[in-house]
Order: sequence, then C-alpha cells, then structure tokens
Amino acid sequence: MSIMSTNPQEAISRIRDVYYKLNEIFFKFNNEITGILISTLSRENYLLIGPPGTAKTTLVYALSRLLNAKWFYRQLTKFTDLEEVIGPINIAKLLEGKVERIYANSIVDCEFALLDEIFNASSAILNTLLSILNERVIYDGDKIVPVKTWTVFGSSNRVPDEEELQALYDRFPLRVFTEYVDPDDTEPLMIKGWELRKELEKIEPLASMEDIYSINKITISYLDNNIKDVSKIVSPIVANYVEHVPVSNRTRVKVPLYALTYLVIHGFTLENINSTLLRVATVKILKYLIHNREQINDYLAFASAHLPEDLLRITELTNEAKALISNYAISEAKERVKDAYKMLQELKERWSKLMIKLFESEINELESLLNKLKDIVEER
Amino acid sequence: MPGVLANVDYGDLLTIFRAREVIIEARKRFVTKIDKLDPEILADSFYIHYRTPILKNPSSLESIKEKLWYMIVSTYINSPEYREVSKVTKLNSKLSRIMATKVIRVYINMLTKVERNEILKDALESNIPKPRSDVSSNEKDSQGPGSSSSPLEFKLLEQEVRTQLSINIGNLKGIDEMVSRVKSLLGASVGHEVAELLLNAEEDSERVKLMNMLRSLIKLVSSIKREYEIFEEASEGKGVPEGVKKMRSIDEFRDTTPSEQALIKYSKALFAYKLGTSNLTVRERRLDTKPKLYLLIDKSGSMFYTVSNRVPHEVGSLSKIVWATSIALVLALKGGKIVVRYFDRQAHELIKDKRTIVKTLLTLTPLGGTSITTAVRTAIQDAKENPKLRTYRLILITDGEDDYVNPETLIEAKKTYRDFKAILVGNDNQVIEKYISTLKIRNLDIKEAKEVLKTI
Repeated sequence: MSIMSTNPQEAISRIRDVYYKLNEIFFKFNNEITGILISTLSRENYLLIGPPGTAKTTLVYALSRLLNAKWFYRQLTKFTDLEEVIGPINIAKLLEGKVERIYANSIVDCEFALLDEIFNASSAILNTLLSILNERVIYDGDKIVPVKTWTVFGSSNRVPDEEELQALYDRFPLRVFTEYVDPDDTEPLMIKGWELRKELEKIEPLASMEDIYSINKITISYLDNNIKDVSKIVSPIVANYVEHVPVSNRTRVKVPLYALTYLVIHGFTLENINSTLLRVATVKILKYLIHNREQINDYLAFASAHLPEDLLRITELTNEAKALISNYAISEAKERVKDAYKMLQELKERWSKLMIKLFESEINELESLLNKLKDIVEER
Repeated sequence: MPGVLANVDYGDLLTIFRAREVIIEARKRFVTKIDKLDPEILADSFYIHYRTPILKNPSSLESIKEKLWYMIVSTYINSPEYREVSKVTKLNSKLSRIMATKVIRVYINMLTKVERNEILKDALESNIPKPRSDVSSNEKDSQGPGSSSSPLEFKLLEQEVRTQLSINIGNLKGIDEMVSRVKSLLGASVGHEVAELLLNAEEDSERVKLMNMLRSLIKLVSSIKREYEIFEEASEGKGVPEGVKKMRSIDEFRDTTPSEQALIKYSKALFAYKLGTSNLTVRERRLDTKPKLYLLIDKSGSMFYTVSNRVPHEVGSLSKIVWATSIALVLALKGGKIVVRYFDRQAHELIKDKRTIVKTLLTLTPLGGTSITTAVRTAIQDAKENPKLRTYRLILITDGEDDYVNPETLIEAKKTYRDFKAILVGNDNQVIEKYISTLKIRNLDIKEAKEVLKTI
C-alpha cells in the first residue's frame, strides 16, 4: 500500500484505519483516542492529565508509529536542561567562535513531541516552550528557528495552580483527563494490556503525516470558505457552554476546526456536513475544553441538555422515572419507563447507523439505566 | 430539601445544570437575590414549565421558605395563566427558563413580604399548604394535615401570592393559540421565536401590541397564501444565463457563445464540423422557478400607521409595516429566495430567513425618518459585494415620505438589479414615480397585496 498519496478521501480513510486500530489495541480509551486525533488533525497541542500508568505515553507512541512520525520524548523535571529539549551547543563551531546548536533529534527535528510532567519544567524551558507551542519557532540567541513539530503532547498528573503556569496551560486547549479503569474491568484490562505489549512490537504504519497535512489543509480551506455559515451553527452552542465553563478567545476561535475534524474521524465527508452534524460534533468536542476534573460533570450535564431532541426526551423521561421511584409514585414511574423504552426503540429504527454510532455510549447508558428502572418498578 | 416536585431528581447532573441555567437567565434579567436561592427551588421553577408537575406530599414541609414555595407553585400551576403558558413551554428549555425567572421573582418578592409581615409569617407557620385536587393523581392521595384550616390571615397570604403572580406573570391569554397558528403557518422555528418574544414582554401592554401585530400578520399572510399562487416564472421560459455547455438541441442555437458566432463569419467549415460533432458551445440557461427578490421595507414611524389613521398599533387595524412584511413572508413561504432590509434613515441588517423577518418586525421601534436614497445605495453596495444578488429583483416598499430622493441612485439600482420596482403605500412620491416602475396602494387589503405579488 502506498501511503504517500495525499488524495483527501484516501487520507481520511487511512486516518479512520488509525482510529480503529488505536481503539482496537487500547482498552476503553475512545475518548483519549478521539482527542489525540482531533489535536493532530487540527495541529493543536494536546494535554493528557491523569495518574501514572494510564497509558498516556503509550498512546502518543502508538500514534507516532501508526503515522510513521518521528517523535521526541522527554520527562521534564526542574533540573532538565534546555539542551535536552532543543539540542546541545555545537562545540566544534563554538571553538570557531560561533554559537550554534545541533538540532538533530531534538524537539526541533521531530513531528511529534511528548513532554512528560510538563509543569515540572524550569522557567528557562517554559519560556522556550511557549514559543514552540504557540508559534512553532524557538528564539535561540539572535536566531528564530522554525520548529518541525506538528503537535506537542503534554502529560501531567495535575492541573497547575501556579499563576505562572496558566499561560502554558492555555497553550494546550485540548485536554483529556485519564483515569484508572473500574475494578470490575481488571480482567479485560489485563488481557488487553498483554495484547497491547505484543501489538506495539509489531505495529506498522497505516497512514502518514502527509495524510494529516492533507486533511488539515482541506478542513481549513472548508472553514475559510464557509466560516460564516458554520459559526452561525456552532457559536450559540459555544456561547452557552462558556456560561458554564470558561473558554479562552483563542480556543473559541478554533472550535469549528475541532468540530470538523471530529466529523472526519467519525467517517463524515466535508460534502455531507449539515447543521445537525455540526451541532453534534461541537457538543462532543467541548468535552476537551475543560480546565479541571471537576468540570467533567459540568460538561456531562451540558452535553445532556444539548442531546438531539429525541434522545433528550428519553433522558428526561428516565430522570423523571428515577425521581418518581424515590417518591414511591410507582405507577407514574412505570408509565415513564414504558414511554422511554418505546421512544428509544423508535429512535433506533429511525436514526442512521452513523448517528447511532455517534451517540453509542449515551444510548447504551440510557438502555442500561432503563433496564435497572424496569426491574425496580416491576419488583414493586 | 425545599424541592416540591415528585418527578424531579434533584441530584441529577442535568437538573443541577437546569438550575444553573435559571440563575444565568435571572442574572440577565436583573433578578435580585437569585444567588441565595436553593438549587431545588430553581430546578422546580424550570421543571414546572418543562414537565407536567407532580407535587410532593406537603406534610413533609418544614421551613417557612419551603411552605411558601409550595404555596406559590401550587397556586401558580392551578392558575389560568399557567394552563395557557405550560402548553407553550412544555419540553422547551428556553421558554421554560424565561418563565422560571418570572416565578422566581414572585417567590423573592413574597419572601421579602413574609419576612417583613408577621401576619403573613404566622399564616404560613400555622398552616400547611393545601394541595389542589386538580394538580395530579399522585398528589390526590397526599393531602397534608391541617390543610382544611383556612383562617383570614391565610386567605390574605393567598391573595398576596395571586397578586404577585398576576404582576409578574401577566396576562397570557391567547398565547398558546397564537403560537400554534404561527407554527402551523410559518413553521416551528418562527413559532418558538414568537413565543419567546411574547413571554419576554415585561408588560401586558407590550404583549397586547405584539399580539395585535401578529394577528394582523397571520390573517393577511394566510389569506393571501390560500388564495393566490405566485409567480409562474417557469412559464416565462427565459431563464438566467449561467455558464456555458455543449449544445444539445437546435432550440439552444440562439444561445451560441460569441466565439462560436465568430466562426460562422470566419470559418464556416469549422463551425459546420463542430455543429456536426455536437461540439458547439452555448450559454447555459437556468430556469428561475422561484422568485428572487430583494425587498427594501421602510420602517420609519409613519409606516406603523394604517393608511387612513395616524394611530400606531391600533387594535384590530393593519399597519403599513405589517402589510409590507406579510408580502415578504408570503414570498418566502412560496420558497422564493428573499432578502429583506428594513430601513429608516439608515438601512438595517440584511435578513435572509422568515424567522428573522418576523422577529425583526416584532422588535422594530417605530422611529426614525426616511432616507430612501441611503437604503437603495446600500442595496447597490450589497450587489457589488455579492454579485449573485444582481439576478434578484429589487422591490422598494415605502409610504414615500421622504423629502429628497436622489434620481441617480434609483437609475444606478435599476442597472444593477434585474429589475427595480416601487410599491408606494398610501402616498405619492414624484421622483420615485418618475424614475422607476411604481405601483400605488391605497388600501391595505388582500386584493391589493395580490396585485402587488402579481406585479413584482
């Protein structure tokens, strides 16, 4: 298979293969995988926040391998030297009186960079990082050196409180909070974990950075031509979201791009994009724009309130049933559960497969809750 | 917990979110003390509108605040206003939020009154509110103890709650019917927009004015729509030139491109070869089956009068602006490509959909002079920025009350647009009549509207 071709449709298809592959080899990691692909396709920095041992580094490594991308990895501490990130001073040149660096194999020379424990870095490194993250250049002495890095991934086990780190934190507009899997899932995790170890040894590229560049180009071009129409659909949702979760101006501007890439990852072509899909995608990607773990609940509530009308109606009926059961109004609860079931069935018949796929987790969750409620009302 | 609804899960994330949304809405409306309210009360205020409320057993109520809230909710959901408004707000979060803030206002006002008035306080303390029999089946089985006692103080309290509801909720009679009619005629999105405007009205007088405008608009639009089929433009068969294509039939011969016509003169053999091999290029014509119109509608103060009367927003009367808007709406309903700009001394925002046309009509302020020249100049500028508009017909609807109209601007507009016509409503204007094709309207009725639609 030639992966050098940059036909956008073929590129999208290959990126879909990467998406499927990552979901296949990682256990319950869809949220993190979708986020990493959105960030890569939209050339945005991505921060993975979570306790150690939640496959943050492995995910970036696997993506690099699948895209045949050169990656740079450093664990940062307050003692990490600037040379370790942007390359050492060339001693031979220094003897000639010239100050030059050897950029080979440094962050400057790699397509992906993963900076582990990024918020532990010293202020010298942080300053250099700001320009890399924002402008993709480094100011090295009197030179401005362009950086090849396409996407910078950061990982940390904490959200920084320090005032001086807030600027750096905002340079990672897309964030995901990883966590340990449920105790009940330990067995499948164990099996998947061993399989992952084997997979990583033999993993082969399924796409290339050219594919990423190509998709990035067509989505940006689409927005250049349609931003007025797109923003009419996207902006009211974002406006409502920022009333609950603050989002910087810089990030708000990028939301249409994230939404489009989300749709591309999920198999929609730019020609088929309509207002409903854009609304769905916007709500979905807003989960990556939260500041801390506590805001996950704010996002989840927001996403529920912005579900497509049919699904929202079923959610409301389920909530009503829950409340009625608590208040011993069983006959009323029974009615709600019955109506919710009926509506869910109708929705499954009416919706397209792709739409059902987009809301798979919500539908499954509702179905499971409804089953529990059904058992309760029938018992009483 | 002060929540009084049995069918609301107060711990659910979505419920908490709804309560926060009520706070945000209330802040926008400058509702004081909103941050001090319990989230359960905020959630109740939303869900009594969004769902069919089922009240909890009142015997569990303890604090004065809980009893007062229960009493307000119970009184409100049994009021004729609630019966009217709940049909509109059901399953509509935006409208439910608007009404929630109004009920919250009642609660905050009543709380202050009860805190200041010992008699009202005693009335609440000594009585457990009595649930109304028609609220829900669940609640019928849960009559609280003490509900039978109804001393004078309690009646005073009830009266006070009703007064507050009447002040803050207002008279909502006819809203459901109006919204339903708008929805069936102009679509659900216009219906929601209208419902929002009607519920947002702070005073009854403002709501009456809006209802009056809407009534006239609906009556006129539905009558014209029913009786008249506009624009059989397809039958014109001319179409608009758009691009080039290979000639497929001899009928298209008249549309051969200039380069092909040159061949007839200079290389007959090549022309014949191209004709024989079906390689002649012709201008492609696309049939315009739907009207494409750019309407400039005068919104100066005088347009809010009827033709014969100079009383704005007179009940039962039809103002010039409503009449003009109904023309735009009928055209939009027929699937035409319609853009509208209202203007007074300046041209206002360009509108492309019927929802915004109705919203703008209902929120227009009847003020400002008239500058037809500025409006027409803006339309010319629009066509320069968006050349697609050049295939539109420009229609100016005005009562012509403008002292100076620049003839050169009118001539330029005539050249810029496919056609330029004026509808003069109840008045004359010599410059307009001299330079552009003008239709004069003397009565704002269906007959004249049909005449206008035929002409444009």
